[in-house]
Amino acid sequence: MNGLPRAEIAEGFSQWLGTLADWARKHRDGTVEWRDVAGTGLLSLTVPEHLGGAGVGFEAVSTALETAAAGCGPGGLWFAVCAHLLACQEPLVAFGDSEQQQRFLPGMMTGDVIGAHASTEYEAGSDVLSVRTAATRAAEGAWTLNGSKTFVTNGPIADVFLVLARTAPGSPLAGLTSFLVPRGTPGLSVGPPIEKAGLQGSSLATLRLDECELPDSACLGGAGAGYAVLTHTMRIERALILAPTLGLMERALQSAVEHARMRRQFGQRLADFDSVRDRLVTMKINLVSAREMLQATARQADSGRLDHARSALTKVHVSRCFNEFCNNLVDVYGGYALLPETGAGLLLDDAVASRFYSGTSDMNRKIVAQGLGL
Amino acid sequence: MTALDEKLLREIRAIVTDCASATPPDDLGDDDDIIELGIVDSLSLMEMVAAVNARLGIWVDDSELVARNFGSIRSIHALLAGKGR
Repeated sequence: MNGLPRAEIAEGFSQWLGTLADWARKHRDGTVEWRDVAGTGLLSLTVPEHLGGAGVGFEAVSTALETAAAGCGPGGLWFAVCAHLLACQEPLVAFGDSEQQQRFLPGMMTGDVIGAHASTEYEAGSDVLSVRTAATRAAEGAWTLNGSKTFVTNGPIADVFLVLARTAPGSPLAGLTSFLVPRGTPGLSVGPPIEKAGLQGSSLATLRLDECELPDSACLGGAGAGYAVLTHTMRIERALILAPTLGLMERALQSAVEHARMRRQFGQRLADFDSVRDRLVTMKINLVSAREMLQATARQADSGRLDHARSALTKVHVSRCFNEFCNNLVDVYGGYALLPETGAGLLLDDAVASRFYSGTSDMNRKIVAQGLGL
Repeated sequence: MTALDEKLLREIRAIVTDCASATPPDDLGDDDDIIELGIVDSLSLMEMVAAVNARLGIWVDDSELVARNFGSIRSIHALLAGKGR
């Protein structure tokens, strides 16, 4: 797949999806690079046609992410792709002015511009609205940013960072602004990759901003719109970021079934032991349940009527399914789960990580509770 | 102000009171700054948005989650009055 025209994707999504699946299977045993992914057209799916994208929407991109992840790549690669798509490209589509969109969107769709979202700080994780990175007026039409960010997905490789900063004291409703900060901006420095467990194929870094000057034109949505930008980003991200895990689970289930059919102990196949069968059935239930909820949620996002409670509920449920799936997966493999070739241990690490990004499961449950009026 | 406007104002006041992060004073005015007073914060705002959708059938877009729209009962009314149910 090389630069498939976006119009073709829109006109024949099912056919394109089949091509994507073939591409993914061919790359199963190889290394998939960022530009390989971009070459499939996947990065253009949610960008409206009038902005040069395929404009096929969120259900389409969730299906595409699942299809691609079912074929190839470690979980972290698709997590990185989602961070770019949902946490940087999407807010640019939703809040960017024409100049910002023209500057960054074309490259974001071709893979020439990789995006990263930088909100979290050492003292502002779940409590992200208490960020301390400050943006003060330097001169008319300019801001000076000072502060630091951590756990920035794609940080080591990103070309543009969406940085959340405080532009006024008091309530986050008025005092936060999102800034588009290109790599290389004087005063912006990117730390080395953060060592982590899980999400192999993705990279995280810290950022430091020292007297980093930016023009007004770097404000996404205008000064003071940071809360709206972040809220919108989280609503879409929570709904869709676990779409690749559906493909990872599909791939892992097929391998686990094959392992259970082939491996023999006590003179019979593992698949003939009730305990193993039960685990595989539970894994299937996890996968189907997670898929049904995520796709229904993606359709709501396409209809423009996805509320925050539903988005948060989806993240909680799919993550819970992913964790239960992986806990059963390692038991199916037994000691072999410790070996890299099964991938079971690595997938369990990814499942654990899914409980913490895009809002921890505890925080997302709080949002669901709010939606219940509790 | 029309009867419908007054009804919507009452409904908004009820939602603000029910979702408040701090108990509103009994004499809370329609123009009082509910953000400055700490009655609405970023968490209670999400609850309010959910309540506006559930109770009034009105959808609030993410782009509208700015202080000028939610700074007072009257500003919330101005935002919602122009929307269909």
